[in-house]
Amino acid sequence: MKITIDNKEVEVDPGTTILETAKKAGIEIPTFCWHEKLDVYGGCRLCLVEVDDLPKLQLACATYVCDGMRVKTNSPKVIKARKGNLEFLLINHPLDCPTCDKAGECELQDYVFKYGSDKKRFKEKKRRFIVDRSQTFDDLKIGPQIIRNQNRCIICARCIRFIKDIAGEDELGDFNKGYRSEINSLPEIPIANQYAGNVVELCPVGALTSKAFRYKIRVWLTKKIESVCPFCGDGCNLFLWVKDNRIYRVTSRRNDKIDEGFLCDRGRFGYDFVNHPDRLKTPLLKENNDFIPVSWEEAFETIAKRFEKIKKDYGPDFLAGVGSPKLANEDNYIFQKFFRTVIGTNNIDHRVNIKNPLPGSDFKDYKNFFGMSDSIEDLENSDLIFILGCDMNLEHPIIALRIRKTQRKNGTFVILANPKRTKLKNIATYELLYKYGTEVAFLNGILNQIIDEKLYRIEENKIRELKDWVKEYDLDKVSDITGVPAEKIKTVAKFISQKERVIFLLGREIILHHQTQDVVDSVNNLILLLGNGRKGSLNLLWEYNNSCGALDIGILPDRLPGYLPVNDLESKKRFENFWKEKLSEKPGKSFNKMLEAILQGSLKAMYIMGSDPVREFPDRNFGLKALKKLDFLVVQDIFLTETAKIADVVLPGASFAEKDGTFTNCERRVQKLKRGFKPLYDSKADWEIICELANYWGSDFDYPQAKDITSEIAEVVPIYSGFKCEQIDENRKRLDLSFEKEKVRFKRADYKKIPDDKEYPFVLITGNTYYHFGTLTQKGENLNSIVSEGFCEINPEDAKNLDIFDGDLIKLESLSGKIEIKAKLKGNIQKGTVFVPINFEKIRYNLLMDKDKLVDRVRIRKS
Amino acid sequence: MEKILFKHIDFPEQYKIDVYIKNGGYIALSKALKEFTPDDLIEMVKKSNLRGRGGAGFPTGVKWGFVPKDSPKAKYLICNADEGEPGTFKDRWLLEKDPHQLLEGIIISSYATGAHLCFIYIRGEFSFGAKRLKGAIEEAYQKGFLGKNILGTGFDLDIILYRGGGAYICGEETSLMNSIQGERGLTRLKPPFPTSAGVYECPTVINNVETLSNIPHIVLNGPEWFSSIGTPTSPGPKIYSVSGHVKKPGNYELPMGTTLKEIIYEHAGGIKDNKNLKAVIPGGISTPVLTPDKLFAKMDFDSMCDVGSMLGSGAVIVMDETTCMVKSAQRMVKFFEHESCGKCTPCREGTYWLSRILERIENGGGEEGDIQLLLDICDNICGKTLCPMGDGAIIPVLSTIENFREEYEYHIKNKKCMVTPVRRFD
Ligand SMILES: Cc1cc2nc3c(=O)[nH]c(=O)nc-3n(C[C@H](O)[C@H](O)[C@H](O)COP(=O)(O)O)c2cc1C
Ligand code: SF4
Ligand code: SF4
Ligand code: FES
Repeated sequence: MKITIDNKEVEVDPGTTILETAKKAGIEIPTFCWHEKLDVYGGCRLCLVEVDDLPKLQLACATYVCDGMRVKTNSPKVIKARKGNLEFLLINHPLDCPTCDKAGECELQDYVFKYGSDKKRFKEKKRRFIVDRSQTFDDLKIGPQIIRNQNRCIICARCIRFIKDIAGEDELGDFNKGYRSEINSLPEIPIANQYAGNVVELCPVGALTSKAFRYKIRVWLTKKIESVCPFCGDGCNLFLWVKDNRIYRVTSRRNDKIDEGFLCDRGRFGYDFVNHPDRLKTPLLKENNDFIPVSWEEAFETIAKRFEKIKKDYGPDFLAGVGSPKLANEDNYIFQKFFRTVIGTNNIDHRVNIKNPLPGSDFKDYKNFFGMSDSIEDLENSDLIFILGCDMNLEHPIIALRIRKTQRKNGTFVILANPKRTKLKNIATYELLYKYGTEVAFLNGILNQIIDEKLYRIEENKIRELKDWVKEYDLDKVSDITGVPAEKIKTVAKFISQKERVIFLLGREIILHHQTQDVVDSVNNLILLLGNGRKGSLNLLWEYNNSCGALDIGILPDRLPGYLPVNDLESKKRFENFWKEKLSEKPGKSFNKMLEAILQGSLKAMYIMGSDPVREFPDRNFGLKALKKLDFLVVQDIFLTETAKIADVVLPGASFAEKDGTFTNCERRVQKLKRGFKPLYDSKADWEIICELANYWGSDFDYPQAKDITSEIAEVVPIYSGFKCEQIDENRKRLDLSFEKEKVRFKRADYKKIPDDKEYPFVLITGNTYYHFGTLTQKGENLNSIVSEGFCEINPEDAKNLDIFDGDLIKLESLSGKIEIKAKLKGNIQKGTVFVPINFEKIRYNLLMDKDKLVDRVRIRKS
Repeated sequence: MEKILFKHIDFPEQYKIDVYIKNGGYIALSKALKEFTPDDLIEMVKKSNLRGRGGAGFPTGVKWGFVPKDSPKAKYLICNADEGEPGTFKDRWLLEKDPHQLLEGIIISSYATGAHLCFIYIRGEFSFGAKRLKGAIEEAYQKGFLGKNILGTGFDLDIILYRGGGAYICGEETSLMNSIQGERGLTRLKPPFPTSAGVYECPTVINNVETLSNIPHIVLNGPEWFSSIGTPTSPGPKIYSVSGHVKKPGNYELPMGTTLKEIIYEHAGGIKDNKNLKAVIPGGISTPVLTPDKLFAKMDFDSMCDVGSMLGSGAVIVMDETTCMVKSAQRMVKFFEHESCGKCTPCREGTYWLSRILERIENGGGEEGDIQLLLDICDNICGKTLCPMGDGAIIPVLSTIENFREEYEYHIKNKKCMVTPVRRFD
């Protein structure tokens, strides 16, 4: 269709609005209530334009163009309407811009400057929403991080629409009517959902500001640095607003492939650990049980000497390196190169929170193990999203938003299968709550049902084996094991088989599962069984910001970068040629095996970079016992972590804000982060430390900048080939893992019964919380102002039987240990389970865990 | 004209179903369900040229015809009994005194439009009316006029009586639907129009109480009969609510197109205390005020347009020579300021500003340039709001300035009213 807009001819498709057409033509039409990611509202009336010969001006944001339409965005009538509109917004607006935190980035200010009138005609008394008469400003705290000043609000309703339509919450609303309209939360219910911070960014004026940022600095004094969020696998794009080596705030750097311009509050407010005074400032050396600050040379000398000696006395395999899914690809790449070439061992791993990580070689049939096979955007092109063992809002807040979106816009069906009730339940078609750890039985039950009712489309003769394997999983039995009603399993089996495009999303429960492989096999069986024409895909959602990168880059004991087996001669040669060093072909030990080896005396020294196994390994006593027995332990981190406390040498690394590099998110997208300022104090970027150590040792790790490592990764690592540092931003590419084309065949997976335990009747589930991630965020004040204290979620009925009330101090006890914790009664926790977050230093949840147990169980005592 | 809608309005216990039936009630229903298809009925109402009595005068049959026949979604009928336009009190009589006439109209209209659920959205303050309607609905269920398989024809209909919270804007159809959905009474953008996506996003027909009350009579007597009453473009009977400085305020059912003069002087008994007439608002306060030289004008949709006003709800507000027009405008704008839903900028802020200026003038603080400012503010509201309320809100200002500018000027100059004594409006 041809549209004429201000005498410019534009070609657009039907279904385009005038506003979109104008954007295409490079013509600005001012708007307030319109927002690309929100539904059209039509309230502010600022976007009125002249259309054809219509006597009335028309809304650019809500009017669809038709062929031959003539639009004027700059006629005298339009200009007058705009001036009038802005004047209306200003009559009651406090014109005290110098005292407003939004000054400098206020859309009202900008539009008035551009389109407004310079005359003041309003002589009446301004409306004021008084909160407290003794205060000059009418600021009202409506959430732990959100301050409202209603006088500045222009009622564009972006905030409300975001909270209601996008986040699916109902904490924020508009109250009263007419000129008395105001935005508020309900009395006694603060706005504190995990996406609340977005309203601050969405608000075009200074009506909503965040406690963390307001009045700390004028925005125009800061610099915007492109970065990526370090607080989960989604990899939302960020701007860090920095000045003088300090982050003042974080805002979204919209990337429609991932975050669509939204962040969760962890990402938005969790940055303040970076400038925490407790940051490690210099290398530390332990002497007589005390740490003394030393120079880098001294530290390197000690490390080199001790490592050298152990290597000489016992051999390279008595040393081990632990990398991190939180650090950048560049850090990890250099780390594994150091261990493989300088030390000469494959004892490398990063999976410190998994009891029994699968050997890399075990997942060769599943490219899906290495991340998502679909992209986040692909979720919008499915009929059914099947979520298994994943509390999406906790683990992947932004994917949760995408699921909400596609459900709302496209009517995509959502099935939730979880051991606890999760937030997405209000959009789920079916919610299946199974008993913890019974996934395999549950899936086999569905498989059996599909076969029974002949709902598959695959040829009969191809499923004979499978039929045999799953036939014992009849409805009654499965229902008995899983606790899911037989009728529901039946319905869901039927429902799945009616859908053409099914996406399975598997989360933390599955990654940490004692039967990870079996669960994945079962899901794959299901996808195969649905078969012909239907498309199913399996996605394992890794938790950390760079879990996929750490796997890809070879922080694995049996895999070189790019998953090339260490014992494959050709692969070995490839890297020997690149690195000009001989490599060991002996597979190394996974982290849990390293700990065992220490206790057996076959591992003497360890270098841990960016991980805190004392807090993370799912058996604290065992982990601590082993690590303490090491002859020599180096820990490189940004704080004196619990693991660092027992180290011999501690090296200060730099945070994500202080270095360049790349993260690979859970959907396998490589993204660049830029350095906001140089490493604080005497710290150094993690890759830099390793390089210097290597060079101290006499190697030649010649990487002047992080991007030289990125280039080498692109050159050496097969699946990263072609990724040049400069391209990453432009293309925002996802890695395609088309190596080792999976051979599709059914695999047997049997449910392993979890033994009952009358003594310890409660299953312990752990995980992140809405406001904290991993072990870092609790360092900062911002998120602590929302939640600062650990808690144990427990089903109200269980609590009643134990005579426990909300907020009571209770003891959780297992055979391995006990902790004291506050009880939080929550209906989303199934009876017989408790949930304990991993984020709080004081809550030593892994004291309760035993690496040899399939599931961890506790009993509850009143304190 | 023989009374039609009001024929039994004062009949003892007309609100009871037996009395209503004895007076010929529910015969139209039986006829409609048994002798006509829904399409026949839509054609019939189209032919009658019945125009909506809620204010806008949109042809009812045409509106019904917009309901998509092939939509798999449920369809709804809403009876708009919010009657909030100041000066209007006709719907109140209809639903308090003859509720079954309305119900009969609703059932026939639901059948015609394919609705199986009807909401009656009744103004919150009408507690007596709500009670009456509730009783009537119960009676109708008992007699089998509502519920499943009505009169054995297989047609099902349920009615939900929904009481508003007292906001004027909830009489506007899209706000009303939000309100029914339990949301805040904010207006919605149109399109989509209610007939394609109304309450709960389903096709919805919304009609005024008076409009629906006409339906049984059209079915009984035929469209030709109906269009023979009133004027060709505005046929049928019309209830005029007359209030203000008249001797006999009240509701008068007359043919469409009765002149203002006849309504005021013959039916409402003329001006109180035999004072002189100063101004008439013909159709509720969102319609422009007329001066006595327009008394010849006929009260129907088109004739009112011809003299620069609107028929609106047909609520005739009469003001005698003692009325201060500045005060009257101030009072009316205050109403709109209070009742604006607040969603759109020009209405929310503009009415606030107008109100403050008028108050200031009224209180003796007028300044030179205020009239110009008022007119310019009105211009900045006019045609730029989301719903018609914004345009309605400026009408009192524009039409009083146009017709009584000298009163404003006097007020501004002399810091007091031109007329004495001031009769209080509030
Ligand atoms: C601000 C505003 C208030 C309204 N109030 C009422 C009302 O109280 N009662 C009513 O029947 N219609 C009212 N309307 C008109 C309705 O929006 C709608 O047009 C009417 O109910 C349709 O019925 P009809 O076609 O039978 O007239 C109002 C319209 C506006 C813009
Ligand atoms: S608080 Fe901000 S975002 Fe919300 S309605 Fe007001 S101006 Fe808009
Ligand atoms: S014109 Fe007034 S009542 Fe209508 S939508 Fe705008 S603010 Fe609401
Ligand atoms: S942007 Fe179009 S009405 Fe607000």
